[in-house]
Amino acid sequence: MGAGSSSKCAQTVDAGTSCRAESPTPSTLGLCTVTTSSFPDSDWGYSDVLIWKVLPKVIGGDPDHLRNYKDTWVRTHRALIKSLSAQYKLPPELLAGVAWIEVGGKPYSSKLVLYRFRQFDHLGDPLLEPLTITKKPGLTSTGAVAIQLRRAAETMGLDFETLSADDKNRLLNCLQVDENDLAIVARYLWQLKQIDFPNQTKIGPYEIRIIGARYNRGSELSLKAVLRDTSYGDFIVNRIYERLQALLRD
Amino acid sequence: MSNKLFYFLAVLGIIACVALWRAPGNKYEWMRTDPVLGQRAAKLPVDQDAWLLPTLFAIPVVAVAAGILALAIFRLRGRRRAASIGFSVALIVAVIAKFAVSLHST
Repeated sequence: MGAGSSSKCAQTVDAGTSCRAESPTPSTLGLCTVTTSSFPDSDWGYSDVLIWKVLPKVIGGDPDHLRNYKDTWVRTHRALIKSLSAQYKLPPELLAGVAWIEVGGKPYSSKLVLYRFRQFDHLGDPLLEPLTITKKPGLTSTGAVAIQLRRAAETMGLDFETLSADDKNRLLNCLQVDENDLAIVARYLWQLKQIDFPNQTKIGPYEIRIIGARYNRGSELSLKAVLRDTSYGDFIVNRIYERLQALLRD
Repeated sequence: MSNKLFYFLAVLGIIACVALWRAPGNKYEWMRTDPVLGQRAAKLPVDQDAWLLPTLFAIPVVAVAAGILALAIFRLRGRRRAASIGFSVALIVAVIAKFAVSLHST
């Protein structure tokens, strides 16, 4: 993935991450098409964390709360998951699996707080960067189906670091809308697929393991490095595959 | 009055500490703890921000520890002062231990 190889890569909308991550061509946030979600409000907040993890059962705690939330989220969004999967020729279980794993857990608003905190810490970049105590704001994962802001930008052929403050905020807001979030994640999964299985149409359990692991661990790793830990993809294939199929059924 | 305040803060500190310890660190921790799908030995995927939720839950604990410490320094005397300082330190140790556990759970 050397910078010099960018000339070999077609900078088209559907060129793979390995190409477009090198020298993205600035453009608008093409996948941010929806401003207000048509899905019912499905926020995961601090009260949900309290119910799921902190409170004992006798005073309203529910250890099943997160799993039920994940099930409901995937079921509510199944039509969109299936249409996006068809658009990118991916098995719906892959997108549904990533969504199932990612939704819930941390309060969505906590990610926004984290982003603002990192943004403040990095206000003096690059001059004061050695004094910062947090990671770059682009490394913040956000959206219900959590995806790093820099990855979300990459899927649209953009470099998060070079975006204007307005566009960074637009991207942040864009990811809070489920339709945009899922569309970006679907394209990112397609781009991850293209790294190891370019133009392969049959995506089976092995491919889901690799693509899932890359979603969690990054697109830069070699296949050999990815194979060392495929726990993310394994979970989709071994633990929730049938569950996802049931949730996706109409 | 100082004694009542100490006991109030102590109870608050214990509740906050229990909440901190029950809060998840790695966001994929449920792969081990979920009653239906969890597997105790499951290898957890990478969570770059595993410290985020513990940090938010640690804020009340640290605030209570600071309150008890201030109370010990300015209002309490003798054994009660020593006990308050000890309790305050214990709360901070609990916070550090939670981070150590959370950030190394993979």
